[in-house]
Amino acid sequence: MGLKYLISLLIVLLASCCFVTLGEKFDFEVDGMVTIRLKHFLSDDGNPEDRGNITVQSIRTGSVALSQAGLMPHHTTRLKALAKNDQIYRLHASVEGANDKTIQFLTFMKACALVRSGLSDVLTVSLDHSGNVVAISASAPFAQCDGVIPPDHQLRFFNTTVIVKHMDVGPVPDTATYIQKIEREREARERGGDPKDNRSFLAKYWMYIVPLVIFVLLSSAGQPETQGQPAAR
Amino acid sequence: MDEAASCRESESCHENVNGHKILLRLKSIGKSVCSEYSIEKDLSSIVLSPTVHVLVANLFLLLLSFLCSFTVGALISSGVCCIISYNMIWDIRKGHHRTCFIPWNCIKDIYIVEAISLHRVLYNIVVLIEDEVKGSTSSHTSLKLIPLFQGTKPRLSCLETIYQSIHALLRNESGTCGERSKNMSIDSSKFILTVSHCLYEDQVGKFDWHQNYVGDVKFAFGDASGKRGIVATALNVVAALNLKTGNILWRHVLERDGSISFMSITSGGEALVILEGDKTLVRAFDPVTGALSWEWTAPSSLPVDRVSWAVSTDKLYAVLLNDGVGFAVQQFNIRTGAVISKWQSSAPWVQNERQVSNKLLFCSILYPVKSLDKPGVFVDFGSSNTVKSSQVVIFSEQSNVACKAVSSSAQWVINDLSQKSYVLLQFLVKNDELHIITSDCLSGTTLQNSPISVPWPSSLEPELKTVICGSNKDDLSSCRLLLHTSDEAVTLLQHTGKVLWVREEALASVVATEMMDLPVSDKDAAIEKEFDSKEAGVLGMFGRRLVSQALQLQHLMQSVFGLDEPHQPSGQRADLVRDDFGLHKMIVVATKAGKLFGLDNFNGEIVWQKMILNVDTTALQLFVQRTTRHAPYPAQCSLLLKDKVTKESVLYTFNPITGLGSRKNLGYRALQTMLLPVLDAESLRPIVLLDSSEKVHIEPREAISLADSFASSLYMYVADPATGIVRGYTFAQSTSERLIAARVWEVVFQPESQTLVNVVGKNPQERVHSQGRVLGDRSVLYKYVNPNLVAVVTQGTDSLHKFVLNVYLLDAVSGAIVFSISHKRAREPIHLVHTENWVVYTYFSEKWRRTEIASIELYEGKTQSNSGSFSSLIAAPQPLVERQSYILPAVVQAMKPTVTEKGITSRHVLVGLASGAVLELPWMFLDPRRPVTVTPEMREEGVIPYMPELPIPPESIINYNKSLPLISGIHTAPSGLESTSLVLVYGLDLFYTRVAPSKTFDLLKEDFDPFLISMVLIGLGLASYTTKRLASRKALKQAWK
Repeated sequence: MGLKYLISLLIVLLASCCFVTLGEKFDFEVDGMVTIRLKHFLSDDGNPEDRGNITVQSIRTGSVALSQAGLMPHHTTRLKALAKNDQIYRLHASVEGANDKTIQFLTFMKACALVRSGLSDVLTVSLDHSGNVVAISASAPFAQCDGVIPPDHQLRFFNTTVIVKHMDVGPVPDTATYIQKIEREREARERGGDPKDNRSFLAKYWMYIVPLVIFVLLSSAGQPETQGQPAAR
Repeated sequence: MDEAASCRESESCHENVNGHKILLRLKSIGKSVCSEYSIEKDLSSIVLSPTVHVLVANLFLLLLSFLCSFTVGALISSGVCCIISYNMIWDIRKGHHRTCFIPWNCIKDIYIVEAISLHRVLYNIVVLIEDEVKGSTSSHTSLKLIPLFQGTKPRLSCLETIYQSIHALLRNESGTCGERSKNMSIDSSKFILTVSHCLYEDQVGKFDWHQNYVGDVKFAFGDASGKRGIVATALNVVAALNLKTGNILWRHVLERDGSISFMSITSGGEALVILEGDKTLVRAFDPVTGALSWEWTAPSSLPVDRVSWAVSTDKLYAVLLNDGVGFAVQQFNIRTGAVISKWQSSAPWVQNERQVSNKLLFCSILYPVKSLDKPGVFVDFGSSNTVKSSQVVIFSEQSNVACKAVSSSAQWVINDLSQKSYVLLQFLVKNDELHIITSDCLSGTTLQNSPISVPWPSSLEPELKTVICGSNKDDLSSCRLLLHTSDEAVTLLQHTGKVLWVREEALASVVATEMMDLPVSDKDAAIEKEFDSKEAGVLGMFGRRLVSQALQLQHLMQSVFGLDEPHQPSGQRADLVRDDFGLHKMIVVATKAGKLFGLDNFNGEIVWQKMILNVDTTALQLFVQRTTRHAPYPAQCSLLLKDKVTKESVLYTFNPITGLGSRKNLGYRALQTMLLPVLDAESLRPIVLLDSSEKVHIEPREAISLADSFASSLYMYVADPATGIVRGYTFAQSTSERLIAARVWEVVFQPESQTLVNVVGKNPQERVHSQGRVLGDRSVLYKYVNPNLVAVVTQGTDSLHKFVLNVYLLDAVSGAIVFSISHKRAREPIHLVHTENWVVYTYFSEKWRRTEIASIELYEGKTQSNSGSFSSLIAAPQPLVERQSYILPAVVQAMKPTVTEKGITSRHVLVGLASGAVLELPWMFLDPRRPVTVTPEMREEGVIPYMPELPIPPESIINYNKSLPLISGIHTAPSGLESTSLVLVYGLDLFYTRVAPSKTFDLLKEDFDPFLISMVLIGLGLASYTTKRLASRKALKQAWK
């Protein structure tokens, strides 16, 4: 019966979202693909309902293919009810592991935040050092709940951004650069004694010059008065 | 920046030519300040005749004492004074008042010698003296070494200065002993005074205390003299105890891997210790000095885990219980380890008693019996079997085995030499009394007329470790019994029933600790009570005011007239009240044995102790539910333990000041616990517990409505190391009758690729004072201070890199991984510190085979996203992460950041090292923003340039020369003073001290003299007043002219 309400599958292909953070990224020896099945809970109790699939086509580049069904009107109503009561929207994700083991993940966000941002959400897939999924966490760009509920036509399709996050490579004590620096300093010392202080004469000794100038100025300013005093009397 | 090590001296020193100059130099070498006073006076006019010399010397001593009085706080200071006119060198030691005069003309040379003591190299300055001994026949010279500054042990730099000055003098006066003295008299007056005053040493024991322990005693015996007791413990410590006082005479900490499986006395008096491990080592220690006498490795073919050992004259027997049917005995030469012989012997009693199963036999304890040349084994079956009998088995060289059943659990057998019989000691605990029954082993007749009884708490199970009789073995009444009780205490009991001393060895295995403020005194409590009551009319308030003021007046009068009687509320010590600076605290310590202690932090004295019976202390947690600030309610702490049998959680709630408390069996297994962030009506923080079936409980139960009102913002997480799942719960679905935890997030660290090692959250009490960091260009870099952030450490395995260390920063409310970092070829031991916006952890680098320390710092950026209150659910921007790693040239045992009241003081990280030192490492050194090439902006910001290796300067070792073996943890607590953080280091020893990371900026210096300052002020005031009067008079006079 729901077929006519069923909105055709929306396939969104998102280009890879490589995120620029400091430090170099972990490099995997083998590239892999991760398929994530999403189910969501539209009430506090009860069974989850299918939301769609996410395929991380390459964990190295982070390119992602999404296929998510839109929300049916009665689902939208339930979601809005969740938002109204300031309840949470839970998302269940299952990932096919390496040896046909399914790993279950759970994440949540405030239902009002999801509704407020018009079903656009951000899913962060965190990977460990060998490319396994460690966590999938959902968040919404508009996190503040101000009670504004957008019109229903904005609440039909999920506009999901998927971020694939790798581990950063840990820092290693940087002895090489330090030794180079020491070497350079030593060479500089051997070549020309102290490192050149190429500041000008004024820049170097201003602290002696300024008081001297002030003193001279003051004494010269005071002179005419002391000389002038007897004349005034 | 490291001015601490320097010891400056003025350049104008010792130009000691004949110009009659007095040079006086006083140096103080401190942690931070190096001050010196240099007074130079030309005394040529005074130094004229020998009589004047006396005058000068007197003057000098006066000056010296005057200067010493200026350096207040120098408890120990010593100095050397060379007065050449008097031909002597002087070693002055203030504090001990020891003065040693050495004739100058006999000093041959001066050296600096070095000695290695514990983990520190100590330097000493010694004077070589050539002494002319005039014997009856001929005079000959003898050389002697006299060390100086033994009490203060100044640093090398100071010693070098002293050395140089004295050496220069000596060089000038080269010549023989006699000649030099002649020269000296001409060259009349030269003075060099060097007073070395080391701040470190004068503060020894002033703020800190150190208690030595040996651990849970496994084996013990008394040495031949009967003065020492040698013990071997579960912590692999071998030590000698002074039997008079119970103090440790010497102590050795043996290898961590393996355990001591046997200790006995050899015929030569040495302590023979067998350490089981990868390699079974047999060692013998000298009981007097503790020196290693010999060592050999037992053959690896020996199944050491099933072997019982026994010692006779010069042989060591390894008795192997062979499948419950007999013994296989191997005989070793005790000194060399050579196998002398092997034989088998059947054990008929095993067949006789079918109840004695194979398993039980292995569980039973075999004690060696001290026998002359026949090894005997005493088998105690205890009451674990249905047959409540004990067996005494004595077997001789060849297969004769004698056995004897004893009625009740027997404890020890003494071989009585004179009567050629065996004496059996049995203990019975009845009606809070311990009865000691002495009987003949074989005949079973009681030896003494009346049983000896000692008052004894019935909860403690005594276990006799050894009987020490000294030289007089015939008289049992002179023997002392070394008892080990179930609370891990060691008691020495006179055979007549007198307790000589008790050592609380439970303190060697501290599990959890807290420092509690002491309650306010009655007087202060009365004042607080006055302002406390909310419901009272104007009249009522006025009445209370009058009453309290009258009380205060009464107290004042009492204290003025000395009538103040020491008032002790409910049996407490009178001095256990809060002091002005909040430095006096009660240290609550929970130990592995299930014993709780309350220690006074000023001297480490045990104020109260409490044994909790039948508990399992793994995963023990200590909560502070109510501090002492909420008078009239007493402070309250809770200890979460597990029942020994059912493994269900037990909550022990107690008053941390008195130790009185009550136990409550919860009837479920708690998975996770949390203190509610709010106080209830009685100012108590309720504990929320999540049990294994995900039901939520709250203690006390009445707080359920309070918890419900906060439930929507309550979250909890549980990490399961077996499955690698970290799960988050919300309490939002709770009702006022029932708290409900619903799963909201799950993060999976798959056990195939990594194992959970540690989860470290932030200290909920910590405060972050500064929200950002001011950069060189005057902009602010805001810190990412997320109170819900936890650091999850996992150890991953990888085919290529073998060990991978992963650190994830997880938001425990939203379940999002904020940041994750991975170190290749890094492995345990991992110690992690997580506070403010930074995480510091140490690990072992497989690649470079060294300990490295990495630090991560999180910043929000140049703008602050949510400045008011933090919410993990409002998607915060991804933090900027700074990271850096350093080499730490030491092995780390524990790490902890200092914590202060308001968090204004900069933080230092305290690192417990395997060498026994506790290093105070400033955060500045660990700063991940330390640049390799320094830009002027960075310099302005005050960042130190990058150096790959962190220094371990001896000045920043807070436990100076008191080495702390086997450090297991460090506890820090804030004091009332913002500058000061209180530190308790635990492990085998307890060490308490205080640290001031930003120096004591809120304390006056010790040498601050309020009297002098007030006198100066009054003097100045008077002077200005009089000069004003004089000036006005003068002005008046001038006006009249």
